[in-house]
This record gives sequence, C-alpha cells and structure tokens, in this order.
Amino acid sequence: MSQLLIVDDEKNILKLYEKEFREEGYDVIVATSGLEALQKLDKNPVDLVILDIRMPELNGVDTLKKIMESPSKPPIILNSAYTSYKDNFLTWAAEAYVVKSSDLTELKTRAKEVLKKHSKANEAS
Amino acid sequence: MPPSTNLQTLSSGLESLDRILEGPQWGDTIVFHLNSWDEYYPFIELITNFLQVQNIPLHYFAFSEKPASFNTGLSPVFIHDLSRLESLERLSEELFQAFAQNDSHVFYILDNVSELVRMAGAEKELVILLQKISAELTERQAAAYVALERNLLSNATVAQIRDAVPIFLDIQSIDSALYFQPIKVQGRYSEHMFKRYRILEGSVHPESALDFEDYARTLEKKSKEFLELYAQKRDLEKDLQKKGFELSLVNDITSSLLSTMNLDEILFRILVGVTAQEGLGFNRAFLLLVNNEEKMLEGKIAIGPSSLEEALRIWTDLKTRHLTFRELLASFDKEWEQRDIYVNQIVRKIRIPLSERSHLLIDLLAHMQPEIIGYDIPSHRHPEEILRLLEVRSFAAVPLLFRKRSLGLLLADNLVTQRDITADDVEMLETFANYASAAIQHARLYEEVRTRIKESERHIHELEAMQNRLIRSKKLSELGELASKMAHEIRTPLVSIGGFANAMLRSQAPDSPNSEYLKIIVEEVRRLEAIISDVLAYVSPGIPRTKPVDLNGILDQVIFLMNVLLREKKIRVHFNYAKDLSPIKVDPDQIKQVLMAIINNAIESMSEGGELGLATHRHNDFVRISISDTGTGISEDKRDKVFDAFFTTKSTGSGLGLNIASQIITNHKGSIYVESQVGMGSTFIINLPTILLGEESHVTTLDR
Repeated sequence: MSQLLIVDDEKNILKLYEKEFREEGYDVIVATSGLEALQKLDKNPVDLVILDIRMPELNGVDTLKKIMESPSKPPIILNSAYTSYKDNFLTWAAEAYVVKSSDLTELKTRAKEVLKKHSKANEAS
Repeated sequence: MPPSTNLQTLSSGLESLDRILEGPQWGDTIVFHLNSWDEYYPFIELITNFLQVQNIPLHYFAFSEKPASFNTGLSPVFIHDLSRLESLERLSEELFQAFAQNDSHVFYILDNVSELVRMAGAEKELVILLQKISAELTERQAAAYVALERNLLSNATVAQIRDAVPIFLDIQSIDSALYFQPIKVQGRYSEHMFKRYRILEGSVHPESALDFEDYARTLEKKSKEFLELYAQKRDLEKDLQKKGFELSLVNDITSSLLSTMNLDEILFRILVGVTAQEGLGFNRAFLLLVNNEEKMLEGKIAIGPSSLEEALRIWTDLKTRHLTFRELLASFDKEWEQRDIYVNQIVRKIRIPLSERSHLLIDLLAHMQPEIIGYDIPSHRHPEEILRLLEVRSFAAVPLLFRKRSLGLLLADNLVTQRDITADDVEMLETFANYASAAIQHARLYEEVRTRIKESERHIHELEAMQNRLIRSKKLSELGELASKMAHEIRTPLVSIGGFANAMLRSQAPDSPNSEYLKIIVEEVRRLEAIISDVLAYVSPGIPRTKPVDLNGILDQVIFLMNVLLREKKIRVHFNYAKDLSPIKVDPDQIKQVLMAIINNAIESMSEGGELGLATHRHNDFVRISISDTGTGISEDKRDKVFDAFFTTKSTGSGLGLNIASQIITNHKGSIYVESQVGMGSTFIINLPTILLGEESHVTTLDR
C-alpha cells in the first residue's frame, strides 16, 4: 500500500483529500505546514508527496527544495489554487503540477501515474 | 525854349550813352526793360536831368491804381487812375488826345506801363498799343521812354515788344550796381548788346571786356550746361516716373501678395505681375524653386502663351473682360495652370541637381546676380540648352534672394513680341523679385509654423490619449490584481465545498432527493471554477510554453474531454484532418483552452443538437484549424465583437472565453476569425504559423 504525504495549511482541504485518497486505497498522512511535512518525512517512508504552495512560514516551493535535498527524495505533485507558479522554474522539479479543483479526478489520475512510473523505476533499479 | 529838332543833341549830352546809342532821334520810342523801380529811378533821373538842362519839354505819364507821386522827383503831368480805366483802347485814345495837345519835339515818359497792362489783363494788346504810340510819336516828331517791368510780362511779350520798337534797352542791377545793355538801337540789334555798361554818378561807363567772343563762349558754355541740366532733368523725370510706376506696381503686388499665405497663389500673382501689361509686361514668366530636401532646382509654374495666336486670344480676352490689374492679380483659381499648359509643360521639364555647378541655371542661382541670357549676348556660359528649351533667342534671369540665400530663379522672356529685354526691364524684374522672394519665404514660414502647430497639437493629443490609456491601464491592472486575488481566495473554499459535495453524492442512493441537490452543488461549483479559470487567464494569460505537438492529437483530446457534454446535447462530430500534418510548436495547454472555448461556444449555439466539424489543413507557412457548427450563427454586427472581453450573448459564462482564445492565438503569432451566417452556423478559423517567430528559447518541456 502506497503511503501519501498531503501537505496543506487549509484544514478542510486536508480533510477532503485524506478522505478521498483513503477511499482510493492509499495510506495517508497529513501535514499542515512545510516544517511539519519535513519532520514527518524524516520519520515515515513516503511514496508520494502532494504539496500545496501557498503556506505560511515555509512555503511549498521551499519545502519542495528541501524534500529534493532529503535522502528519500519522494516524487512530488504540486497542488495549488494558483497557476502562476508554473512559471517559476523551481516548480519544474515536481513530477506534476495540478491546479486545485473540486473535481479531484485529475489529481487522482496524476498520483496514480506518478506512483506507477516510480514503482517501475524502483523495480528497474 | 529852343527846341532841338534832333535828339542827337539829347544823346550828346549823355556823353557815353550817346556813343552807345548812336543818337536816338525824335520819333523814337525807347523801351526800358528792367527788374524793378530801384533800377529805373537812377536812370530816369539821369535822363530827366539832361532833359531839364536842355530845356526839352517833358511830359510824365504815370499809371497807377491810385493817384500818387512816383519817386522820380518829377511832378507827373498825367496820372491815370487805373481803377477807373475801362480798356486799353480807351487809354490809347486818351494818350493820343494828350499827344495832340502838344507840339512836336516833346519828350514823354510812360511810367508803370506793365502794371497797367497787367491790371487790364491785356498783354497782347500792349504790343499793339506800343506800335500805335510809336507810329503816333514818329508822326509828331516827339519821343518817349517806356518802362516795362520784367516780372510782370511774359518773355514772349517782351520779345514781341523788342521786335516792335526801334530802341530797346535792358537795365539790370547786379550786386547793387546798376548796369544797362542796349539790345536794339535804331531798329537794329546793337553790337553793344554784348557789352555791359555801368551807370555811375550820372554817366555811363563800359564795365567789362564782355566782348562778343567771350559772350559767345559763355553762351556756348551756358547752353551746354543747360543741355546737361535738361538731360539730367529729363532723366530725373523719367526716373521719377519709373519709380512712381514701380512703387504703385510694387504696392499693388505686395498688397496682393500679403493678402494670401497660399504659396501657389503667391507664385501665380508673382507671374501675373511679371507678365501683365500693367505689370512688368514680359510675354512669359517661369518660376523655378530650390527643393532643399532633394537638393534640386525645380521648375514650378509658368504663365504665358505658347504662340502669337494664343497671345492675341488671351490679351483680347483680358481686354474684353475689363479686369483691373488688382482683379487680375486676385483671379487665382485652381484651374489656372490648365490654361497655360504648354509653358507649364516646359517649366516642369526643368529639374537640375544643385550639385551640377556647371549648369547655366545652377550657375545663375549661385551667382545671385540678374542677367540677360541669349545667343547674341557674349558670356562665358553655355545657354544653348535652356534657350532651346524655352524656344527663345534671349531671356532675363533674376535670382529670388532672401537673406543672401537663393530660393530660386525667375525667368522672363518676350517670345511673342520679340521685344528686346533692356537693362531697365531687368532692374524692374530684380526689384520685383525681391518682394516675390519675401512673399515666398513668408508663405513657407507660415506653412512651417502651421505644420509645427499641427504637429504639436497632435503630440498633445497623443500625450493626452497616452495618459488616459495609462490611467486606464493602471486602473485595469489594479482591478486585475484584485480580481486575481479574489479568484484565488474563492477557489480554495470551492474545492472543499465541491469536493465534499461530490463525496457525499457518491455515498447517496442515485434516486434519493439529496442526490439531486448534491449534484446541483457540484455542478454550480464546477461552473464557478470555470469562471475563475477564465478570469485568471484573462488577467494574466501567461507566455506560451511551446513544444512540438500534433494538433490532430490535441483536437482528439479536447473532444474526448467534452464527449459527455456533446452526446448530452445530441451533437455529432465530423473529423477532416490533414494527414501530412507534422508537429508544430505551440503551448498545448493554451491551445486546448482555445479549442475548448470555441467548442463550448459551438455547443451553446446548438441547443437543439447539430453537427460539429473539425478540420485541419496544411499550408506553406501555417496550419489551419477550422471548427464549424450548424448553430444559430452570429449576426454581422456582432461578428467583430465576439473576441471582445466580456462580450456575451448568453446568460451564463464569463464572456471571456473567446477573448482569451484570441489573446492566446495572438501570442502564438497566429490569427483567429469567424465566418458566419445567421441561422446557418459559424466557422471559427485559426491559423498558426509553422515557424514560431520570437520563440522563447529557454522553454523546456514539462511532461505533466
């Protein structure tokens, strides 16, 4: 069972995502800030991070940078209400960029695709 | 009283006078010609003294307006009151009666005769009167002195009197000394007339060696001087006349030139001035101006007939129209150039670069001097080319100078009358050219100032417009920021609302009432999210992130995404793809957005179902995508507006979809337009260049 780390400072969003992804059959842990996410990442093996960008203190882009520097380096899907961050090349390190929508189909599809791609890569290595 | 029968005795008493006069005789009328009584009295005194000494009876007739004693020392024996005089004839009758009362050998002095004549206004009759007196006295063997005053009689009358009387003496006072000259003695002109005698203390002395030859020389000299003076006077008169004419001409023309700022009209008036009979009277005139931008001397306009026949026709026409010079000057109209087509054709052939220094006209221009050019006029220049062009033997050329700069040349000739051009003509032309230059320059300056003012006005308008645009764009950008912030803020809660509603919907039995309500929430949230996407795309459309894409594939993806909706609306889709379509570089996300906006529009126009046509074509430089529907169509007045922001005919949607589509295509350097017929449907056509100019080189592809 793949473990997802969902990071968002909006508790309602976290609640929705947690419920939806659990129903999809994922093991879900959540964090309400970038710092908390980094801490949880240290203690838990995570297969995919779904990361909000606009967060107080450590924002999503900086968190992404830190995660990419961490030893586990799990793949990341950026999930933001903003499209403008696509223009920031720092976000290109993410596997995907999905704009927030009440229709979670795209986010779920992308999560599935990324995990599939990574499990294949891991098997190959 | 021993009356002498011969006046010889009289004159012998006057020793020197006797010698001069060779003895007046009884019967003589001696006329004194004098300037004033100052000259007369000493002389009359001389004579009366003598007469008294000789006991010769003397009758003194003095004519005056009022009886008064004359300062002669004599008591007048007869004073005629002129105020009572009826006529000269009456006077002669009275005189003759007086003569008849006396014996012979009486001496009469007739004083102030010229005054008498003047009063009577009968100069001509005086000659007759004197002739009568002379005859009467000859008859009676008496004699008379008659005094005439120079200033009161005309030269002609004096000359007639001189011819009519036997003795004529001229008396003059020069430098307060009294002189006399015997002009005519005993009916002959005296050889003494060229000598001057001075009257001094009762006797007469030859004054100077004013001999005949000397007098002749003096006369010759004087006549030469006179002729010179006369010639000068004539020249001055001519000059004055010319200046007067020039002045009135110049006045006419300058006032006419100043009354307009239209350069063409000024040029016309200049040429009329040169050619009009009342003006300088040349047959033809040509005006050449320097074009400073192109560094050329260019023939501008000309006036004048092409032949004698035409000249006669024009001149007769002008005469019958009775135009004054001023009217002629003001008769400028747009068609005037059409009237003198021939000369204008000639003048337009003249176009010479200023750098061609050896060319006659350029040389004249540089020389800044007026000149007459002709075959027969010696010159170092080579005028043949221009003489041939103008078809004349000679012409006058005058530079148009303004502040020591040549504005052009004024050429004038007498083709028709063949009259020689004189130095005077050229001088007049030059005077005239100066005024013409000033007028041309003024018109040019006026035009320049006007253009500058217009330019300034235009700049001010542009600045104002720019300012307005800036203010507007600042407001819009602030509004945009606000919209963007709000849109993002709204999006997050919508995710929760829509997301949970969706989750709840899934857990409901499909036919439960809550299921329907939840569905409504989900759909409305989706609609809000779509509007937010549109608004955000409008506010910041983003730079195209291009990568080579298969357009047919993109169309397929869009149709796949919209398939549910199309089926729901009973719309059938036809594909007509170009098979040889190689990938082109576009931003696939943005192009998808464009296609979805157009297809959405098509779906909404076909509420009762219909046909959607998708086609791609390959052209040389671009790929064309056509999307056609069988919907309601767009009326002509709305066709131009469909791409405007916030334009919509629907009650739903942001009204931004097609505007964003148009912006995206423009950012891709492509074009988008719509063809439509109301009731038949619309076709949106997108052309995308196969080579994207100004392509962002840093763009890498991000596989999402």
